[in-house]
Amino acid sequence: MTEASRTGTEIEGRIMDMSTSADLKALEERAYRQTWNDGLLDIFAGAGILAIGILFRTELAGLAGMFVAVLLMPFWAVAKKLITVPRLGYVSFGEARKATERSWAIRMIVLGVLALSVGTVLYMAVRSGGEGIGGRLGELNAGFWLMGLLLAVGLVAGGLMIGVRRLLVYGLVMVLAMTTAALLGFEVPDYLVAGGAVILLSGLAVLGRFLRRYPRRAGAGEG
Amino acid sequence: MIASDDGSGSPALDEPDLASLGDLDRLIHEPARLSVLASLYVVAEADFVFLQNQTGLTAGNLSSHMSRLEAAGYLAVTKSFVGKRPQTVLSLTPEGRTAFDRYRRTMEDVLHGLSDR
Repeated sequence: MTEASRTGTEIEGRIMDMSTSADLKALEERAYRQTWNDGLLDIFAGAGILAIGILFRTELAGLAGMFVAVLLMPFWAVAKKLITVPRLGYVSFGEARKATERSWAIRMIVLGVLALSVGTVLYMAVRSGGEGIGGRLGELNAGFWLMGLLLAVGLVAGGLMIGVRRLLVYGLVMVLAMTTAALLGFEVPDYLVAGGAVILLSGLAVLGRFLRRYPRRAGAGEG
Repeated sequence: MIASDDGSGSPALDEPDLASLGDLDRLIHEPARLSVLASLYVVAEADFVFLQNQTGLTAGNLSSHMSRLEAAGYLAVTKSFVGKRPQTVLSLTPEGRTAFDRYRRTMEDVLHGLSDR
C-alpha cells in the first residue's frame, strides 16, 4: 500500500471509528490498555505465584516465598524497557490517569497491609492451637483459603485498576484452583503451582501475540 | 423542521449552521493530522513509534504531518537519544490543545445539526 493511499480511506475509516464508536476517554483507555497487553505482567505474576508455590512445596522458605514476587519487579521493569517500549513506543499519560493510578496503588497497599496483619494474627492463633479460636481456625484450614483469596483479590483489583479483563479471569482461575484443591484434598502449594502455571502460560501466549502485532520498526524513533 | 424566516439569515437554534464549517481549521481537518492530534490530546506525551502504532501512518507520512503541525505551533517536538537509539517525543502545545478543542466543538455542533432525527 502506498503512503498516499494510506491517507485516504483507511485513515478516514479510523477517524470515523473515533467519532462513532469511541469518545476521547475511550481512546485514552484503549491506549492505556495497550501498554498492558504485552503479557509481561501476566508472565511475572504467574512466575511469582509459581515460585511461591514451589518454595512452599520444598519448604525452603515458607512465607519468605512471598518476596520472590518483589524480587521479580526490577526484572519486569527491564523487560518492559527492552521488549515493550521499542515495539509499542513510549507514552506518558495525563495527570488524571496518574491520579487514578495513585489512588489504586494506595488502595492496594492498604489491602496488602490489612491482609498481612490479618494473616499474621491468624497464623499466630493457629500456631498457638489448643481448644480456642486458634484450634478452630486450624481445623478450618484458614491459611489455605486466605492465601488463595488474597491472590485472587489482588489479581481482580489489579485488573480493575488497569482495565484489563484478563486479570479478572486470573482471579477466577485462582479461586477455581483453590476450590478444586480443597475438594480433592490438595495443599496450598498445589493450587499455587497450578494457578501460577496457567497465568504464566497465558502470559506467554499474550506476549507472542504482542510480538507478532508490534514488530520492531526499522529506524524507529527517527521522526 | 420549520425554517427561520426572521429575515436575519441566521439559522434557528435547532437548525444546522453549515456556515460554521467555513471556520474549520483545515490544518486539523486532514484525517491523518486529526488522527495525530486526537492521539496526542488524550496523553501527556508520546514518541514517534507510539504515534505510528496509534494512527497506522507510515514513518514518512507521520514525519511530514508532524512537521506541518509543529510549524503551526500545535506540536512540541523533542529529539533525543535513548542509549544509541534516537527518540522523538511529541506533545500538544496549549495552542494545539485549544485548536483541537475548537475544531471538535465545531464538528460536534455541525454533525449534531445534521443528525437523522
